[in-house]
Order: sequence, then C-alpha cells, then structure tokens
Amino acid sequence: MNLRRGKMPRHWKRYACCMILVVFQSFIATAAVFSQLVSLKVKEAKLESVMAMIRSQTGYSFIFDSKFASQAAPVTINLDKTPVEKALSLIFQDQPLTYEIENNIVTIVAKSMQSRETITISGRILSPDNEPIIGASIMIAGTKNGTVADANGNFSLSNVPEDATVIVSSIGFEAFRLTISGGKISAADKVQKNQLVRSAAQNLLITLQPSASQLQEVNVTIGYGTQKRRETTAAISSIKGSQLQNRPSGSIEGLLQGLAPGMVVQNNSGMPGGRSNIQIRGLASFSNSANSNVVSTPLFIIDGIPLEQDVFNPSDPRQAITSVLSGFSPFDIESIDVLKDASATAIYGSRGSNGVIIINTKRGKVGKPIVTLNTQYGLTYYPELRKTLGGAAERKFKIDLFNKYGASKVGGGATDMPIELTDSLNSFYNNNTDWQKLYFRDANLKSINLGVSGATETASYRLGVDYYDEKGIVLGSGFKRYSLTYTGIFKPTPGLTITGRANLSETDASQKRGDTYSAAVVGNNFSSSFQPGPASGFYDSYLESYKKGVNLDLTRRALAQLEVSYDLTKFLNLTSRASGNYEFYRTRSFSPSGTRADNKSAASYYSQEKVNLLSETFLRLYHTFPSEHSFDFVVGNTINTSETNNIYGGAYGGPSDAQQVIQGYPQANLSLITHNLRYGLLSYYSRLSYNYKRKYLLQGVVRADGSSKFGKDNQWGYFPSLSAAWVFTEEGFMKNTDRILNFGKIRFSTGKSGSQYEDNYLAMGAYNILSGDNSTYNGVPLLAPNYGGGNGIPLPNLTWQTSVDRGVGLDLEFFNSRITATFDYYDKNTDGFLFPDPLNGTSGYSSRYINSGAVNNRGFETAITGYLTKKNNNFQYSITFIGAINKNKLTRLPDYGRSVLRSGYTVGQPYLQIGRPLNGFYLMKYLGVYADEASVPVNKYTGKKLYPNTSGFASQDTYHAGDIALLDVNGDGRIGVLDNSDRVYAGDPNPKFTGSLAHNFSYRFKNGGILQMDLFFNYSVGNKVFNKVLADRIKSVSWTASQNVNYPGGQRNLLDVSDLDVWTPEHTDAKFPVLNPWRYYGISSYDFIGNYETNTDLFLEDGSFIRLNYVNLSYDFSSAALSRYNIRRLRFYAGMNNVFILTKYTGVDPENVDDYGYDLGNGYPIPYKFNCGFNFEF
Amino acid sequence: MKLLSKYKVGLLVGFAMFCSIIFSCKKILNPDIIELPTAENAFSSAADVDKAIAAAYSFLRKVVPDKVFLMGDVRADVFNSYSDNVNVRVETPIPQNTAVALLNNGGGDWNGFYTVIAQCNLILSNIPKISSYDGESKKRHIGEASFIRALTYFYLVRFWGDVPLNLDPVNIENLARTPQDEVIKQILADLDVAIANLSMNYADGDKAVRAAKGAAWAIKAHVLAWQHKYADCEKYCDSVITKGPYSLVPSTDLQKIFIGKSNEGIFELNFDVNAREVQKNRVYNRTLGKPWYKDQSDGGAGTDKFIMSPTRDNINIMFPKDLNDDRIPVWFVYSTYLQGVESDRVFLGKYRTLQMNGDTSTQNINESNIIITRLADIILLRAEALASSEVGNAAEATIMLNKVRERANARLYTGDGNIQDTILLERKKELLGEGQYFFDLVRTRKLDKESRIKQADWYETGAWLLPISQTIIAKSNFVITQNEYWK
Repeated sequence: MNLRRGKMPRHWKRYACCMILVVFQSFIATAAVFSQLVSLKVKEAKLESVMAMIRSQTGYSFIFDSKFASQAAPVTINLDKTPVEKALSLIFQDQPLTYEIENNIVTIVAKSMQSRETITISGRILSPDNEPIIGASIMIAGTKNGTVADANGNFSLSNVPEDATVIVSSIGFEAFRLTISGGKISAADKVQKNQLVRSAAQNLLITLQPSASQLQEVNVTIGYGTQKRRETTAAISSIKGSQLQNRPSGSIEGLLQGLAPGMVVQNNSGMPGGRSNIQIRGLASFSNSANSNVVSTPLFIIDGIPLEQDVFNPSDPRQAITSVLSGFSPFDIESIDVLKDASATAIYGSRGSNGVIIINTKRGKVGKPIVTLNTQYGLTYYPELRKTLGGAAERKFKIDLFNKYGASKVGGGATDMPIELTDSLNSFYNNNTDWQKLYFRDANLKSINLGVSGATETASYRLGVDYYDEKGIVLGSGFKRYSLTYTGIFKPTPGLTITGRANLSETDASQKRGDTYSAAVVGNNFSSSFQPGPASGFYDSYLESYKKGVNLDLTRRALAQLEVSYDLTKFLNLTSRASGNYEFYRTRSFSPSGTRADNKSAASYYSQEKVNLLSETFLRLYHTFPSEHSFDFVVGNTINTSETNNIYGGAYGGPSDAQQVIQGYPQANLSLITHNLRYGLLSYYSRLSYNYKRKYLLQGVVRADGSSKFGKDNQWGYFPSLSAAWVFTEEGFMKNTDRILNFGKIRFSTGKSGSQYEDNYLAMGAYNILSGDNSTYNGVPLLAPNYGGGNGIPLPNLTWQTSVDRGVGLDLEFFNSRITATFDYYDKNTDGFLFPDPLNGTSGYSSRYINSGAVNNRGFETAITGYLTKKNNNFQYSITFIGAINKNKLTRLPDYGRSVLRSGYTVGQPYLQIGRPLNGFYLMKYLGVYADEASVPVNKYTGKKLYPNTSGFASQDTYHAGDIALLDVNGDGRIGVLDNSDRVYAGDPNPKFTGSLAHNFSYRFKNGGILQMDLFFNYSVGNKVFNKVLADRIKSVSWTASQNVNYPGGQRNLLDVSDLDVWTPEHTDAKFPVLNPWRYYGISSYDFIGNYETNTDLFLEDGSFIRLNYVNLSYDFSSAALSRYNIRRLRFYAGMNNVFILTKYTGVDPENVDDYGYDLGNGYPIPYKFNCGFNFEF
Repeated sequence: MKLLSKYKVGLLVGFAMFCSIIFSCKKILNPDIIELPTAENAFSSAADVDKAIAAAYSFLRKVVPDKVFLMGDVRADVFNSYSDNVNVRVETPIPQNTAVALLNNGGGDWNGFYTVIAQCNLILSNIPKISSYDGESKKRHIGEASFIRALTYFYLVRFWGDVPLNLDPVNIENLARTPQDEVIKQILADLDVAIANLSMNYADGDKAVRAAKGAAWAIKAHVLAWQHKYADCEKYCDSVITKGPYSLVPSTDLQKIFIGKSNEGIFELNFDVNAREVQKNRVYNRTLGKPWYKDQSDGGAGTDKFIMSPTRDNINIMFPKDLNDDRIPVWFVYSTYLQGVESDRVFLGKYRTLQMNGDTSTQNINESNIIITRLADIILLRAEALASSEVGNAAEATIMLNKVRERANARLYTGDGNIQDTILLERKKELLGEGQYFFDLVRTRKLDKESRIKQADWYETGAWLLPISQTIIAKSNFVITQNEYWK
C-alpha cells in the first residue's frame, strides 16, 4: 500500500462519523415528543407522501405494504391543526384501504379483507430484545393448519376462520394464544396483552416471553452472530443479567462467581470495585517470573468490542485497581455468555485460549416506553480481625518471655527489659489501644440505576444511567461509578439495520496501599497497645498515612460503536461495525512527610490514555432448504489497533504537606517518564454451521490472526476448530422416551486457539535506553540493545501460546425440560508459553524469549437445574447445582525439562516442575518439634548435629530441643533454610472441585404478588492455603526482627498466640516450636535458627470452604394491582452477602488469599454486606 | 419510509468495505514504534554510532574495574585482608588461587566482556550501512570500536587463555574456544585497524577516556610484550612516548592522574559525578575506609577491619622507610600510612576522589577514573622491553626507569641490583592498584617468585589462568572445556 500519509486522519474521520451518527440516531429514536395535530395542504398527492408528511409532524409510524400503492387513490386535502385520528379518517374516506392505529403505529390494510369468511394473518414473531424467533410455530388450535416463522421471524397463515384461537409457540418460550373473533385479533389472556404489539391481521407483531426454564435460553452469542442454544455444538454457559442484579457489588466480575461450570472466580479481595481472578477451564498461564502471568485472564467482549484485561500486579501503583468491567452496571446487562472450548473460542483466534466472556447489554423492548428504576442501599461490616493482645495481657506475655528466655541467649549475655515493660507506672507506656481496629470502619453502599427504553418496529432505544457508591471497610478506601449506557437500533428500510451504542463511565477507586506499594492494605504495622491512642496526639506514621495519604485511582471510559447491517438478499447479510474504546486512567498519590521514612513528602501523578479502534466487516449467508438442510456461513475481517500514551511524574521532598502537586520540589528529586505503545491486529475469520433437521449439527471455524506483537517471520497464526453434535432425541427410536427425556444432545469438539503476551515490542530487538546513574559515558548517552533482558535480540519467530483442546459434552432435558443437565469433559493442552531462554554468554546477550513449556488442564463440568414443583403451583422451588473438577499439570519446560525457580515473589519461591500443578507450593517438610536434645539427628559422616543453613557463613548453630524438625531431603546434614535444597512439593493452591448450589423458592399469593427467596452457596474443595498470617504472628514475637518484643523502642502490636500449642521446657510434646525471641545464633545477629521460616509446610492448611454467598428475599407486587397505577412492576428486596463460611482453615477467610494461595494477611478483608432496595418499572 | 435508497445503502456498505481494505495494509501489523529504538531503526546516523560506542565504553566500565583489581592486584597478593575469622570477606582468599575463591569473585564469568564485544561487533557491522557519514567520524568510529574489541579480547586472553572468538553482532551458537594465538592475531589485526583510523588527539573533553592512536599503540605494545616480542613492543612504546601527546605530570599533581584526563593518561575509563557517572565497585569499597566510604550495609568500610590493603611488609619493600618518594602520600592515605587503622590497615589513596555526599542507598560514589594505561606504564614497559634479552639495551632501560623515579623524586637507579627485577618492582610501585601486577608477573614468568602461586611449572600447567564457571560450560553443552589446571 502506498497510502502511507494521511491514513491516521482517515481512520479518525471514520470514528468521528461514527460518533456523530450515534448522536443523530438518538434524536430519531427519541422523536416521541411530536405534536398530535396535523396541518396539511396537498393536491393530487400520493398517499405515501401524505403519510410521510403526517409522520414527520406527529411521529406516528406507518406500515404500508407496497402492493397497496397501486390501489391508493390520489389525495387532495386541506387540514389545519387537525387531530391525527380525524385527519386520517378524512384521508382514508375515499380510499379502497383502511387503517388501524396501535401505539402510534398506523397499519394500512385493504378494506375488502375484512369481509371474508376466512382471513389470512401475517406478521412477525420476535423475542423481547427484538430478535426474530426463527422457526416459531403458528398453529390454529384444534387443527393441523399451521406454519413456521422464517429466518426473519416472518410468517403468513391463510385460511384462518374468523373465529379461532391461534397458538404461537417456540422452544424456550411461553406459548402465546391469539383469539380471532369476527376478524378482530386480541390476546387470549389479558395478562399477555402487551405481547401483542400490533393486532392488524396483516402485520401482527408478537413478542414471546422466554420460558422460566434456565437452560432453554433461546440464543447464545457465539461471536459474530447468535445461535439457538439447542443448535450449538460448543461448550457455552449462559448467565442471565437478572442473576447479577440486586446484589451489593461494584463489579460484574465478582458476581460471576459460581454461575458457570468451569469458570472459577476467586474474589480474593473485598475491595469495593476490586478485581477478581477469573479462570476458565484451569490455569493456563505462566512464565518464570513470579509476578507475571499467574492468572489466565479470559477475553471480555462487550457488545462485540473486545476489552483486554491487563494482568494485574498488585504491587504496581500505575495499574488501575479496578477491572475493565467496573464501568458497567449489572442492571444494564442483558446476558453473559461464557465460551469455554476451542470450538467456540477459535473465532477469537489468538486471544481466545483462556476463554471468552461475551457480555450483551440491554436493548429497547418492543412496546410502550418503559422506565425502570433500581435502587439499593447497603451496609458493610468488616469481618473478624486478627486477635491481638493488649494492655496488661501484652505486658504479662512479654515479661513472661523475658523471664523465661531472656537469659538463655545462645551467644551469651542477656537483654534488658525495655522501659515499656519495666516502667509500669509511666502512663505513656500503659495504655490499651487496639491499633488494628483503627484502620477499619463499618461502611455503607448505595446505588441507583435508571433505564429508559422503548421501541417501535423501526427504531428502538435504551438509555441506562447508573450511580454506585460504596465506601470501603478500610479507612480511606471506596469505589464510585457513574455510567451512561445507550443503545439505539434504527431500521430505515426493512433490510437495513443501524445500531449505535455508547457507554460512558467514570470509576473512582481509592486504595490505601500501605506504606509501600505492595498489595499491603493493612500489614503488620500497628503500634503496640502500650502506646497512647491517636486521640492523645501520639503520632503513628502508618495510621497517619491511611488518614492523610492520598491515592486516587480514577478511570474514565468511553465506548462507542456504530454497526450497519444490510440484508443484500433474503439469505445474505453484510454487517460492518466500527467502534472506539477510549480509556483514561489517572492515579495521583501523595504521602505527607510524617508518613515516610525519610520524612520528606512525596507526590506522584500518572495518567494513561488508551485508544482502541476496531473495524469489523462480515458477510453472512444462511438458508434453510425445504429439504431441511440448513446452513449458516460467516466470513469476515477485523482490524484492531490500539495506542497507549502515558506519563508519570514523581518527586519527593516537597515544600509543604499542604501542597500535593509537584511544584517547587528539588530538581534532583524529580522524575518524569512518558510512554507510547502501539499494537495492531488484523484478522480474517470464517464459520460454517450446518444442520440437518436440527438433528445432526456440524460447525467449522477458522480464523487467521496477524499481530504486530509477534516476530516478523511469525506474525500470522491460524486457528481452526471443528465440532459436531447429534440430537439423539430427534431420532425415531427415541420417540417413546419423549415423556422422560425430551431433549438429548451429544457434542464433540476440537480446536485450537491462542493467547498473546502483553509486551508489544518483545520481538523487535529492543534497545535499552537508560536513565539515572551511569546512563552516559563521558556525557554521551548510550545506545545499545537490551543485552540483559530477553528482548535484546530480534526474535522473528516469537509468537502466541496455543491451546489445543478436545471435549465432549452432553445436554439433557427431562420431564418436559423441568430438569436440565449439561455435562462436559475436556482435555486442553496449552503450549508455547513465553519463557526466557538463557543464552551463551559469548553472544553478549543473557537470554532471549522463546515459546516453550506446556500445561495440561483436564476436567469435568456439570450444571443441573431442576424445577421441582409443578408448573402451575403457587409454590415454586428450583435448584441449580454447578460443579467443576479440574486437574492442572505442567507437562513441558524448556531446557530439557529442568525445574525452574520462579523469581520475584517475596514469600517462598514457587517452582515450576513437570508433572505438578502450576503455582504449587514447594516447602520444607515439617516433621514435628524436637522434644529434647537427644532427638536432634546427627550426621553420621561429620558427626555434627543437624543444623539450619540460614546464611552464607560457614559455622552455624545446630538445632536444639524445642526447635522445628524438618526433613533433610538431600541428606547433607543441614536444612537449606535459605536455598531450595530441602524443599519438596507440598500442595496446590488451585481448587480441585468448585461450583455452586442455588436454591430458588417462590410463592404466588392469591392477589398475584410473588414472594421469592434465593439462596446461593459457592464452594471450593481441595485447595491449599499457606497461612502466612499465622507464621507472621508467631514470628513477630519470636524473631529478633525490628518488630520483636525485645526491640526497645520498636514495640509493635502483639498478636495473640496464647492459644497455640507451643513447645516449652515443661511441655515438650508440642506442635509449634519454642517461642524464644532470643533463639538465634550467637556470632551474628543475622543468624536466626529459622524456627518460623515461612517456607515450611507447618503453615500449609486445607483451604476448602463452602460459603453462603448470598441470601435474597424479594416481594413482587401483583401486576394486576399495579397496572391500575400504570406500573408494570414493583419489587422490594433485601439481602445479605457473605453470610457465613464453613471451613477448616484457621485463618479468617481462605478465599482472601493471593494468586499463589498465600494468606499474607494484608489482602483487603471480605466484608459482610446487607442490602435492600426496590426495582420499579412503569 | 425509504430513507435510504438501495443505491445509497450499497454505497455505505461499499465505503465500509473500502475502509476495511485501507486499514488492512501493512501498517496495522507494522505500526511505527516510537517507544524505543529497535534493531531495525536504531542506527541511522553517525551520531547513533557515537552513542553506541559510548555504550561499548560503558560496558567496559561495568566489567573492568572489579575484575582487573581483584584478578590483577589482589590475586598477585598485593592486597590482603587480615580479617581471618569466620566472617571473612569473599575477596580475601583470592591470592590462594583456589577455584572456590576465584569463582566466588566472578573469576569464572566472562559474560560481561562478551557484551562489550557484541556491542563492538554490532557497531562495526552497522557502520557500512550508514550513508551520510563524514570521513573523519567514520574513521574514528571504526578505530574506536576495533580498539575496544581488541582490548576486551586482550583481557579475555590474559584471564582465560583460549577463549571463544565471536565477531558477529548476534551469535547465539555454542562457540568452542579458539587457541589464544589466533585470538591474539585478531587482537593485533583490530589494533592495526585502530592505529590506521584513529587520530592522535581529540577535543579536550575526550582526552584519554576515548581511544586515540596512542592508546592503540600502547595496547599493541602490551600485546607484543605478552607474546615476548619485545623488539616490536619497544617500537610501539617509543611511538607512544615520542610521537604521542603525553607527558608525565609533575610530582605535585600526582592525584590528578586519577581524577582523570591528565596529560599522562593514555586510556582510562571515565567516571564523573557531574554526569552521574559513578559506581560502586570493589576497588573503592574495599580499599578506602571512613570517612571516604561509609557504607556499612555490605560490611565494607563501615567496619574498617575489612579493608583490603597491602601489608606493612609489602609497603616497606616497595617504599623503603628511609627513602623519599613523592608517591607515598598520594598512593596511600598518608595518615593511615603513618599510623595504620584496625590491625595496621593502610588505605589506598589513588582513588580517593569520591563523591562525599553520595546517595546512601546505592553508594554509587566513585568518580575517580579507572586507569587502563598511562605514560608511566608505557615508559616502564619500554624499559622492560629494552632490558629484555631480546633487545638487551640496559642503558636505555635505565634512562626509562629513572624517568619514572625522577618524577617521584625518588632515588635513581644506578645499577644496583638486577635491572629486570628492579623494573618489575618499579611497575609494582608505580602501578599499585591499577590492575597490572599479576599480568606483569605472568609476562615476566615470575609469578612463582612474587605471589602465593608457588609451583615451578605454574605457567605450563596453566595455574595462572582463571577457571571457567560450570554454568558457562554447561550452557555451551560442554563445547567449552575447562582449563586443564582447573579440571
């Protein structure tokens, strides 16, 4: 292409056009505010143009079949401010045609038709979200006369008697009955009258309501199209928007927990609006660096726009703490589809291998405008905190330790009691302040969501406005969301559909990240209870940083989309879509001087702008032949470009604590960095779905992705998939079992998909531009490849990681779909992980990245729903069980499969070892406590007792009575406390079995009101949790670290360890080693014996749990009663989140742990929440 | 109702298709990268090459100071640490020449040198690709890159003997070791290119810290001496002395040599606090104590007892007590020379140009230049060459030797004692702490007499070579073999 210049402006123009059109559309769609009076003066005018004039004046729509155009007589009329109805009657006086008005829609029909004995009815069958219901059956009751709706939902049925009942039905929908009486058509059941949108015989518009059964969802979004659930061949789970509503949470992510089998959502933070860790079909991401790629984030698609979730590193202050989904309100969501196997995700090619979550927002529904109002108010309470000792108890505990061990220092000598302990009369040291508690508060949340929607056949709109405000239980934290969601669909001609969508949101989350940027929300840094409370003026720098430190985390997002879809012929559709996703993220932080070790105030500012542009065009060819062969073929192209610009400025040593911006800071303390990152993805895809009699289903997908991220020789990848299904209940031999098993489908699938790495420029041969010390030579800046990183050499072969999966599934429906069940088995191999490969030093480069290493995930999934009560009972009870078993195994590593130590993780050092699960624990094996001196083993070669190799120094103290007994795996006579020589695989932080159990009770009162109760349990079985809180708790009294009891002046909050079974000279048969603060080796104060090192499995516990995640009680007022006040729906509800948890884990919450399964004790505690509110619709 | 005719719709759709095609051009997959230079666009002008050469020097600056001091001075037993209890510094056992001691101090790791070489290879391969080049800069850049590569290989050969020879910018293959003679051939070839291309003088700012013709002569003289080609060596030394712009600084200005860019400097590695070119390395934090070096975090000078220092006996041999030598108050911190601290430690004073108010966390405080070669070195090398049996001009050698003594106002050599031994001792005195003495001992084959390596066949067995770390050998899939002595 030679159009190098001017391309970007063109690009921009297109998106500008898109924005303008969106705005333009909203005018059209909200054109309801027209006058009801007509002024008209025409002579010999065409009827069509007269109608157009009336429409423009009144906003009335006209349905006018072109075949009537020839019959229409010319119109001559003079009207001045005449009411519409009158005007129309005058116009049609002399016409061979007549009309009907319904909801501002005027339908023109032939006069003669009304006088026939049998009539022909025609029209469209739609679902509430305006999608045609393909194959809906229209039958005259009591006869065999009937027809089926075509691919656009249109039908025509002739020879209908003037007095008849017509039944419209489709699988997954409640049947709808029409009464035809004397040619007049109405809904048989008054409650359903809203479903008959237009009742003229030739242009009926009927919407069917989905039936209550959950698995019978009509359509699932499969990417670039939808499919009927019963005709899919892939493993897809669907979640209804209503399942996420009325729950006190700021993010959709967390609410997905337990709702889809095979999707594990770990809500490991209780932070309002915080992120959750989502995995679909097991963990399939790793690298040798501990802090990256420990989670395999799925791809989120919102109304066709991919949103890429960055891999979250909690210790990076420049990353938004909220997820990309935090700007969307659950009330604006219609449904969520979770694509799990490669046959479904292959259509997303190089980004789909971790699963795809497709989110569809709500659209306007056919009928009168609807206004919905949802409000919520809630209270949040902090959970149980770690137990601490205070006041006299603390003093006694510490004095006891001094008396017991103070003189038995191994290296000799004794430590004097600090003045805090000895001076019992000094009021400064004799307080009882629970400092830990001062960091927490009980808080509240409130939200309000307003939706306005409406639709005619040619236009629909929905506007959602959302406000959510939750205060956090940790001082200074909280989350706020303002969002605006708009969808407008406009059909200027029958074949053309223009859709515009926009979502604007601002999320404001502030988080106190403690005294460092690590994930520490609240660490161990509380003052001793001896210190006077904060009210006395006593200065506590940590608390001060929570109170006065500033940490803003603000995201603003604008998503706009314009889609043009045109039916070229009856079976050929062309859709083109352009979207722009703009994201602004800002974080500003300020630490007052008193809160920092150097006593200098520090300020920083970081802002990031991300623009993601997407252009998509696809052609769809579909047809069902009379011979019942049906195919649907899609071919398309996607162009995605992304650009990120960011700027960071930081400084310390500011002039005043009152000034939080960077100005007047010393020049030497300033830093400024900007970045510009670009990325492009070009894709072509195609999908063919074929079925014969809806019995034999076949689907093939192929996608080709070219990405700018990858090496020059390897930019293109191909992702094929193939799946097939057999609906065996359609076979003749199964007809007899119809009453028990009414639907059964078996699915097979295999396919390939990929996932990309984050770094845009990894393969290019990056040069390293330094700043700071030694970034010049003799004043000349340096230009050199990044010899030390893995990206210095151009890597033309670097590419995505690929996962190949095979699966088989079974969908069953029993007893007329009252029990539905889905079972899936999968075997997924993910290969080609990004790994640094060490290079020969002679090359000058230390390493390069290669695609190597594979992991296997294998598992079962099941979802079973049962409606256990009869359909027409007033009391209804349903139960849904979701369960998934996953086995994760590392199958290949580079460098001949040698185990890899992952670096960069502060606690313990995770390993990668073939045959073991990813992120497994590798710890020293705890054998007990040496009851006495004699039980310490002696090395038979050296004659020396077993000793811990705690430092590089040669001579070290041996273990003694009361010390921890660890397994000397390599038998070298010493325990490698600091190295890895004695560590063994100890367990898996990932659960083996996860899922949920939901109960739903409802009771319909005589007056029509409905009382409903939902109970939702989620569970996780087989995951191990390292209770580091417990380790730290003991360490803080046993170590000569700075927070030790015997560290004068450094008194810290004392955690209660009195309930532990600790070794003492009197009690030797104990679980925990001696609590001797002076148990260190004499020569160097650096040498600790390592009794409470955090790499032994003494602290590894079973993290299985079952939690009553929420209880929700609601009451729906009778619709009959409400209709008197023109209210469609009113529901009050009240609920509770995180009700209780059953677990053997001794810490507070086994879910509140990091991605490696460590309970560091500094995660944001998961609060208890109560909420109540109402849903209102009119 | 027909707002848009079919024709218009077709147009719209056509436009959409058109857009798709426009965007699907190459640009999507090859966006402009402005975030960082990449292999594709890093080199486009002479200025880029200049910066790349600066990078090559900086890599040299990263690897040389530590290695040369530890393996050039400490290994020759010039510096010792008295601290012999359990918490000895890792450097202390280096003179014992055990594999553990050498490996623990990076003696087995040559990777840093190969980064310098890769950078030079990259520069040399990119220079011909640049079209807009003025002849002067091109010559200079070719000369400098060749010089740096030669010097680096010269260090490699002196440390490990046979070393892999890599002349490609990117070569990740398992390279076997090349016989040292061949490597030296390459070194000499590179130096000849450098000599041919470099000019004698640069602007004052670049003096000595960037290679000029004199530096290439000086290093070539050293290489020739290493090969015992003393006649040739003598000629190149003479070129440096007579044709070069160098002069010995007066005895009153001795400290200026180490501040850097003095008239005496031929080639040195630049450090300068004003440009934030500062470093923490083992030359400084092991030889200078308080108040210069205050970092206690690494057990360094915060506790003066870990300072590495020549023993008092050693000092007395070099600088007999009763004789004047102007070098003493500069070479040593005079107060510690008069009265040693912590078991008679004497601080090396050459590198005392330290940034006093440096940051406390990294202690990147050194700003003295690291001297690779200077005029006094070449004068003494010439003396050595003249006094060698190959040349045999003792008279001229004496003149050379006395030039250095004269400058220090020390007693002149008048034929008392073996001239070769005297020259060697003079080199030890003059170049103390500049990473020369171990190589001097190897070159003159006197290692067994003056160091703790005592076996008579030390040269033949290769006891003077360093071991190669097991990681390097394993990584090369055992294509690289261990030095015979260390097997």
